Amino acid sequence: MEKDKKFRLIGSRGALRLIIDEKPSLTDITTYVKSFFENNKTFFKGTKIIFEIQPLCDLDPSFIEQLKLKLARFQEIDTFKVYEDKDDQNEVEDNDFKVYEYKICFDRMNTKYIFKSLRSGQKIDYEGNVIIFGDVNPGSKISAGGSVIVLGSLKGTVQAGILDSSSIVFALDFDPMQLSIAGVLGTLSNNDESIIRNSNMFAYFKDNKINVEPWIGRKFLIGE
Amino acid sequence: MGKCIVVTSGKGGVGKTTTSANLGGGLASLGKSVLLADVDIGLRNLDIIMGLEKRIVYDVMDVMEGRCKIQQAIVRDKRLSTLYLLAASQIHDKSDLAELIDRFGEIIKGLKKEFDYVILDSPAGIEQGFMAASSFADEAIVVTTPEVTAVRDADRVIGLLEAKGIKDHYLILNRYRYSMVKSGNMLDVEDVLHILGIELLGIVPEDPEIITFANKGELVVTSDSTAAGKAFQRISRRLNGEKVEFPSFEEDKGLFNKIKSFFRARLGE
Repeated sequence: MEKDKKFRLIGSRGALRLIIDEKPSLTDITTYVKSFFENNKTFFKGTKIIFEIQPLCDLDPSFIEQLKLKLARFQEIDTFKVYEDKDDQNEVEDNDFKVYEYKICFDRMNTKYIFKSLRSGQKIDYEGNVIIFGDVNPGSKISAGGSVIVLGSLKGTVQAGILDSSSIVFALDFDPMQLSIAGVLGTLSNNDESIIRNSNMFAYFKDNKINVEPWIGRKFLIGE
Repeated sequence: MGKCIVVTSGKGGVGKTTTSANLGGGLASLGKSVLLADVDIGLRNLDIIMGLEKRIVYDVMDVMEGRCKIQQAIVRDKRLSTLYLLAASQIHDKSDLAELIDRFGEIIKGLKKEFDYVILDSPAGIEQGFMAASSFADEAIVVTTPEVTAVRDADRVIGLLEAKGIKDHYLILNRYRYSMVKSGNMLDVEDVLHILGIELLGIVPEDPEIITFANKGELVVTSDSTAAGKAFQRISRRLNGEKVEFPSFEEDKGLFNKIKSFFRARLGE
């Protein structure tokens, strides 16, 4: 997804943040952002976001300006925010505790709580995380910018991680009709016996695919 | 004031009309006054199942368009003196009902003053006919069969009923076949209840006698010797507020069929 890991795109409260680890080409970034918005057209319909640019390497100010000019044509972007000051960079710098906290906490996004089951034909769209105290029945759908946690049966369609590829999908009874995280689609084959259905399972995005594992209650570091 | 109950399903062919007719008959057998209204405009069937098709002169559209009074359109059942039918129109369609929805509501309001129960037989689907039928109901009965497609549609319908503010809705599981459930080829009651999450009113086993009775224009609920008849009797009593136990549906083969099965097994059939 992110070209040779020189940059990454993550969601944060009402914004999309481009973290640049090494200087990439402008074309690579623009092509990637264009593809991202196209793949999530429905999610961003009628919405404008703040686009944050956070360089973690030395970049010419002129490079940033050219990047902003190229990205300004995307109608989904309302304004830009550039992290220039070194103190700003400390928000997500390579500090052991901050990285650990960032990976285990959901507070970088808003969370919607739903206290009923979703029935066939019902749909939830939300920019952040979604937690459902109930079931997601076949024929229902959740689209979330962050993670989706189902404290019941998951048998419907889930699109998670639209804004944050480190999102997870968890369910007490894990049997989704269709599942996608960060735009990558996965379905559980009816004949896939390696997947234990109807138990505590979770799915995450890694190595360009969706991984599904039993949830055994230990600490899980997102994105590792 | 009487109660208005809509019988709906989402999916077609699961037994709404049969259920409506037999629930009406069951309640009437308990001494209640019941008005069955066929809201499946354009595809009238309730009158056939009740054996009253030759006695229909006016229908609900005639009442709504002012061609007759409501009393002229209501037909009393041949056998049960407190059971009445308001037939659907066969020459209109559901959009005609939707256009006169307010008038339909007034009619239902009036009928609730005259009858203990007003049962609306809703059409299949979730469009205008269903919307009209469910707009004026106090409660809903959702009929489904233990098939994935039917349960999916029932779930959709329940969501729409909840959105309309109908909080009291009940499930009737129709055409239940224990042998198929036992072999894992049919959803069990628990599976269906887990998905739909509503109160179970009753289970009607698969019974070919239903077809026989329907073709003769008789209500199976009046029969004490058929499995479906007894099921509808139990359901009617529960609907009327009585506590009735749910029986086991393990198929009782009877001595002759058991012997037949034994020889079939020996012959490798």
